Amino acid sequence: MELPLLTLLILIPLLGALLILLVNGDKLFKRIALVVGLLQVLLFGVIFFQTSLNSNTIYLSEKVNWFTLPLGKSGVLQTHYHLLLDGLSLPIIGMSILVLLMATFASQEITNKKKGYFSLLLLLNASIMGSFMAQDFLLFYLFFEFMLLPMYFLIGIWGGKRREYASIKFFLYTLLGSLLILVVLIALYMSYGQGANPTVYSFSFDMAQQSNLLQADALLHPNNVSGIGGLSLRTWAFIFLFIGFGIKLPMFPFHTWLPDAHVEAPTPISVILAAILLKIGGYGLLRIAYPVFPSEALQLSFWVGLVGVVSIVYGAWCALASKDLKKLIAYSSISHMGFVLLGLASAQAEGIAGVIYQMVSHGFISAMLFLLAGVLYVRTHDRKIAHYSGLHQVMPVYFSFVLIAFFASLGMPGLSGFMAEFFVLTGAFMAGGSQAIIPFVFPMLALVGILLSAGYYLWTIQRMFMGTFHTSLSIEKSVFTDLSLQEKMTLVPLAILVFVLGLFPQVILQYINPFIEQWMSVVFPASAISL
Amino acid sequence: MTGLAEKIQLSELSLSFILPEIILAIGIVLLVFTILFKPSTRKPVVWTISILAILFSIVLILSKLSTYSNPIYLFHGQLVQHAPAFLFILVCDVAMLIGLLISIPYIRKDETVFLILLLSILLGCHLLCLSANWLIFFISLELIAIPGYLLAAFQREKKNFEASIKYFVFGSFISALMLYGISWLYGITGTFNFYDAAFNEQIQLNQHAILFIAVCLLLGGLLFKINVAPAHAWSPDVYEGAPASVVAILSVVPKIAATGALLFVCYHIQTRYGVRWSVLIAYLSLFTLLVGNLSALRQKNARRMMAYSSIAQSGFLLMAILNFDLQNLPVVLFYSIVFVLGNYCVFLLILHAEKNGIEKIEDYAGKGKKYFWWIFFASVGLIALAGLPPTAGFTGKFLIFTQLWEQYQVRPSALWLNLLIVGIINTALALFYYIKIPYFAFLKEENTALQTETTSKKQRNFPVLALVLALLLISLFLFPSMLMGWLNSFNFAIR
Repeated sequence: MELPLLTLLILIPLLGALLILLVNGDKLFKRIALVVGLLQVLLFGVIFFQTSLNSNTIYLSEKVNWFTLPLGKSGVLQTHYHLLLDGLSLPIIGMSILVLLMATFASQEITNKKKGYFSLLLLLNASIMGSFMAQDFLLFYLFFEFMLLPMYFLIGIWGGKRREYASIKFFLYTLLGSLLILVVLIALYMSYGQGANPTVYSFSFDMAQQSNLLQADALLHPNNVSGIGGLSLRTWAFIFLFIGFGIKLPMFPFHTWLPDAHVEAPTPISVILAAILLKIGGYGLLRIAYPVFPSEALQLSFWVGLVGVVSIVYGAWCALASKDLKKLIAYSSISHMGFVLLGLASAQAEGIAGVIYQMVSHGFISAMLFLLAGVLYVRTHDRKIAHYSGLHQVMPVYFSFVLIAFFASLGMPGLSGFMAEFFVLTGAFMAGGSQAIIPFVFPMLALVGILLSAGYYLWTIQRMFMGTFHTSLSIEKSVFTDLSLQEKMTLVPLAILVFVLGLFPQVILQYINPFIEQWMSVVFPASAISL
Repeated sequence: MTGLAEKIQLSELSLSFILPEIILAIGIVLLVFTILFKPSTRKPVVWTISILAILFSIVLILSKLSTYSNPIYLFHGQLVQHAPAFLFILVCDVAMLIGLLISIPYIRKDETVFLILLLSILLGCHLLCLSANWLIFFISLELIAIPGYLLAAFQREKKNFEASIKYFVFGSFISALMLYGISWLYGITGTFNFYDAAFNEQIQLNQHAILFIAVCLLLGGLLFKINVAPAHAWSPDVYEGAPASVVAILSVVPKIAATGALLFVCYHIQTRYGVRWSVLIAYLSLFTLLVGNLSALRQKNARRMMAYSSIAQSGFLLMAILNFDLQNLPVVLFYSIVFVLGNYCVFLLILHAEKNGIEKIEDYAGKGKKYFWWIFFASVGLIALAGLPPTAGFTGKFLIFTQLWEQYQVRPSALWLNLLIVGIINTALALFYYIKIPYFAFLKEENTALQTETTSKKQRNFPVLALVLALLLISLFLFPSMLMGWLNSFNFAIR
């Protein structure tokens, strides 16, 4: 029998969490969590090398029936435990596993209630793995929803001064989003089925299967003309999904939870939040919203693009005004996630490739950024940009890592952020040019956003690192020690990956491209675009 | 004269069919005898008698269910036995059993009286679900209500008396109105037996304002028991005043029986072309959800919060029976079971906390370490009540919402969609207060002023029952087909 590798990716952290609950010993908890992380890396390596020769777009899949529920007189609900690794989930899962390991490694600032912390971290780990691999909508939703609780407690218990406010705000925003998704989930389940008496309803993300199963009398059938408020039900469903995942992303009017959550969360949690949890928004749009409602998405491309561009520019603008280093990075995340929306709105293969690339690359870059902010915070317990200057004199190695991360984030060619944004902008210009899917001004404004991001990063470097060393905090100079070995060990792999992705995009593109080809042929076939 | 002999024979025959109810009655009588003749009976004996009575009843109902095929009329149509009634009774029995197990450590005096009253309520619930005749129906409702008034004053403190009187005044007023409504219904239909085909025929012929008023008066009594707004005002006060274990039981058992009865009654009152009672129920459900959740948000006392939460849960129960379609019965039963399990999970904590002097939600601050497992399992219950995965609460809500969508698909009326959306928004609202206890316990620091009062001796006892309930909630989430498959295997026809 073949090993269920994908299930193991979820099971290992769950067992680790259970083990942590059962054992005692302050140092043991972190070790268990690290062993879990290393096992996952190992497992992923096995998967990676086992499948890299395979030209198929689906690399691994595990499927069993989960449960069947009779639904009154008209049908039966059939759900599957279906995990899948394809060109979309493979890079993201790889990124998540690595970032989770680094975050675990960087958890030295957690000194109290370690047992709870590491077991919640592993629970979060399991649900992240699950949501990126689940192929059944209900299964996905369960993992997606379950991320809420560990995250709530991780921010709420181990966070900063205003942790309670931040955690409840995070909780409510995300819950609102997931409830919007729940409405669509129910509607979708009741629209896709096969057979009659009883109809077996099920909904999987398998795009080929979907078109066969759409019931003719379903309210979400394209032929159903009835609507609410002038919009068809399908459009509403797309809007619900868009807002639901957009909150997670986060996109412009629903972003306000993010800066609070980031500022209050402890460093490793910020890392996970920025690098992984935000990606679930983009992942959900790519995996669910677009494939299920392609024509609605195309109709609303203007709005998707608009929200994306506003997020890019507004996020950058807020970052410029931020006085707190972590807040600056949080706003820059909003700005960079705007590119995900812009790429989606472009409806071009290049743009979509850029979206996936951006999600992976931003995962590594934002992990680095938050780890670096944490390095400073651990030493001084203060993150105000204005309180420091000339740090390069006392922490040269730190400074060089900051340079790598900042330049990667602002889109310096040769680093991963450039590649991603280059793809997105290419797609957006193509869509804005001949095809007029989105106005030409959107990619132009996105360029302004990049310019602004160069502005705030360079300005921050100037303020904090240049000049002669000075701090307005009443602490000794000796506090500003350079990076410790442990900190280097967390930062070096990330930095290497940032370079690799910037110089050799083929590393990921060879997985992404077949996926995008298939995705585009289902979602935006050439005929649909030219309309 | 042969007719009479036949009748007697029939009644004798019928007697053998109501064994569970007889056993409960015997249990009650035994307990009364212990008070009368042997007041010194030791505590374990009375508990054993009542728990055994309920267990017997459960076993008998299960055996009846396993051989069940078609509805049976007893005592010349006074009672009727069908699978839906059995299932509701079963849930009530199990809920009562768990309730008794929970109360054992907390009832210190007058256990016998306590048990007599609770068994009477259970008997009332049995009869309410089985009744096919308005008079039996009314009497069983009173059998549930009157012990309830007494139980509310069980601790004989001033606060309890106030709660009890309030409950009594509200309750008897509603009962009177209901009786009035029943008498009108009798006048309109000419029969007391609502399972009678003539009853539905007459209802169909008489769709006018008087019938509407009569049915409203009738439903009022049931809705009062289910705790539906605007007939909810009594419950928070009673919940605050009555002993916590009584509250734990009263907030689930009568509610589930009354939900079943409401379903059966509405099934007979609805007609194809007449007033659509489901619309009324839909609006009531909407209103109840909003009132329950919005008021719960403001509560400072854990019990009052649970009272409003239970009002909001009634809204969901109504939503589950909305279209009076018996085929959807498994959904409401599943939801009721989850509600029972979740509610008890939380009340286990509340009972334990109150014993240690914690009543307000704020007082839970920083107690997460001391009562870790209690609060942990209560949190599982709270998450289930809120309807989040990985608990069966999610499955229950998911089923209800799916059913609503199905209804919307069959008959696109904005009402169903609004109800669906309000239900979902309320799930979010509810979470806001459900999370309060874990929030205070785990996230807030202990109030140092209070710390001096409570002795800091470490509590070593582990809530085994809560563990079982929480495990059930999680396993029902992972394998809902276990329960749903079983529930769906019955013939739901009730006529």
